[in-house]
Amino acid sequence: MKKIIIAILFVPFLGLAADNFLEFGDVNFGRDFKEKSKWIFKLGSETIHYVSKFPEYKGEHVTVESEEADNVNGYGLSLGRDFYLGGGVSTSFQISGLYSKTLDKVTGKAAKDINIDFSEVRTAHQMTAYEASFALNYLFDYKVVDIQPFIEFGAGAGEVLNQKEYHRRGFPSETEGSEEYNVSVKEKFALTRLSIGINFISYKGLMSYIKVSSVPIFITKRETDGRTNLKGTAVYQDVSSKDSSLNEKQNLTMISIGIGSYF
Amino acid sequence: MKKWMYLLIIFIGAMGCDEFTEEYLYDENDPEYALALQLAEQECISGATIFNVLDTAGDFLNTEQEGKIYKISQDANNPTTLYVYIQQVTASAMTIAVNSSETGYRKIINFTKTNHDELLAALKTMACNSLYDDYVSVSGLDDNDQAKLTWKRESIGKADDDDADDIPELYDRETNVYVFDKDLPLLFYYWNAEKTSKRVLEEDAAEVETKSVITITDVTSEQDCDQDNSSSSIPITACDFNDVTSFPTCDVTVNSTIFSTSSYGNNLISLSSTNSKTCTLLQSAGVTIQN
Repeated sequence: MKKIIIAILFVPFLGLAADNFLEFGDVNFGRDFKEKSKWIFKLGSETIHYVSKFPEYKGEHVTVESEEADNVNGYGLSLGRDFYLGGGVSTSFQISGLYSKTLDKVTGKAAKDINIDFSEVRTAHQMTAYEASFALNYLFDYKVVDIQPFIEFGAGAGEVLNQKEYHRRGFPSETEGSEEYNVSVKEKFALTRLSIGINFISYKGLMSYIKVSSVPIFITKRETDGRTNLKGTAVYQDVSSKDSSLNEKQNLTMISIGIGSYF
Repeated sequence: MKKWMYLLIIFIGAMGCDEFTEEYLYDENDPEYALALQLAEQECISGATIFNVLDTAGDFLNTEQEGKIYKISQDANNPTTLYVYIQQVTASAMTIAVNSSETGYRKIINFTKTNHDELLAALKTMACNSLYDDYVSVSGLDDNDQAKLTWKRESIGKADDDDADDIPELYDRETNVYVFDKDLPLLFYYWNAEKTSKRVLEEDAAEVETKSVITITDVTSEQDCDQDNSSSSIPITACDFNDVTSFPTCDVTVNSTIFSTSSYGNNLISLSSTNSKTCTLLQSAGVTIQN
């Protein structure tokens, strides 16, 4: 992961190295684009620290807490317009989409020397969100790569599907030795976002960025669907529920890195 | 083009964020460990094609084998030829006559359906119970024709006394590879084999290795019968099973748990005579303990 981050942040440098090798003079982004308004396109990788809510459960090989924090990884895509205000200051308006999908699978082998998949826990998160955002940028016009710190505000909406599946097979000599936990929780939310970050921009407008965001979300609807079963009983418990009038706040942290282009 | 390469880097990075891990639930000290072993064995057995094949092939109601004659040849290290005739097959037993120029091998073997089932059960356990992995392995579990059992056994006469090489000073070791073939009665595994013996019986002596390869072929003509029996003092040809009344009758005992140790000389089957005579399966080169 670290290598990928470094590779992405190196994007503008690579572009310069390949296209302007041994050229002298100020040939960077500032010369061509600095005092102009332009379109911007960004594509990035997002990691969101998300707290899921599941019905509690204590099985032989898994314990599900009512709240579980996971990192959800995905892609972000945005398109916008950058307006030059003067003195290195610009502002940009963007619309963005986010799609995240993360699967964490833990296979329980019976023993080190017994190659049997005896239990399995799958935790999956799938998040989609869209938003409109506004950013204030200031460009430091350096010779090789321009550096542009920015602060960004956004608002939007989204939904997340959290799923947890667990099963234990049970031994043949056990009575009702199997276990199951199969629950999916769908949440709808509104979001606001405050981000700070840095763009690294090469002379042709090729850029990379990194930003850290605080994302308060307001969960408005939660729908839980599923059933559970414990060892020793054949009874399955239905844990389905529906709450359409929630106003539950959760603060998410998001880290984004990516590349983009001014054009 | 370059930009698309960079996009690709991101996609690959994001895709690689799914996590797959494994954990071990039990160890030898847990009571569930024995149950897990049992489950693994059951799964291995039910998933192995060859066991169903051998089970079906051992259907004694199928009299296809009746009347067939096989020639069993052991190679030059201990040259022996046996002729085996499937005299009779009933639902409960198979009568097998064995003839040879060596009178000690002549016998009538009563191989029962129970023997067949016990032998197959032992093979299943040897193949699928990991407790015996150190000295037993079975290949061909997904095969439709035959399974190959490799079984290592040893007897240590004197343990290593110099700690230099961790090799005992005196030992007898044998590695036998047996083939269980669906086209032959299961008992024939003993004659469808390669038996290798390695031994040091005197201190500071070099290891002596001997090997016997035993093969089974169908007898399809009289010529197949005569050549190895020409020097016989017994006035019957090897394939003539009309007068076998003087042959000892032998019952088969399957030693169902004998593979729980790796002792030299352990055999899955043993023969016992019903009329106080000797029942010997086959003596191979270098193998001192035989039925």
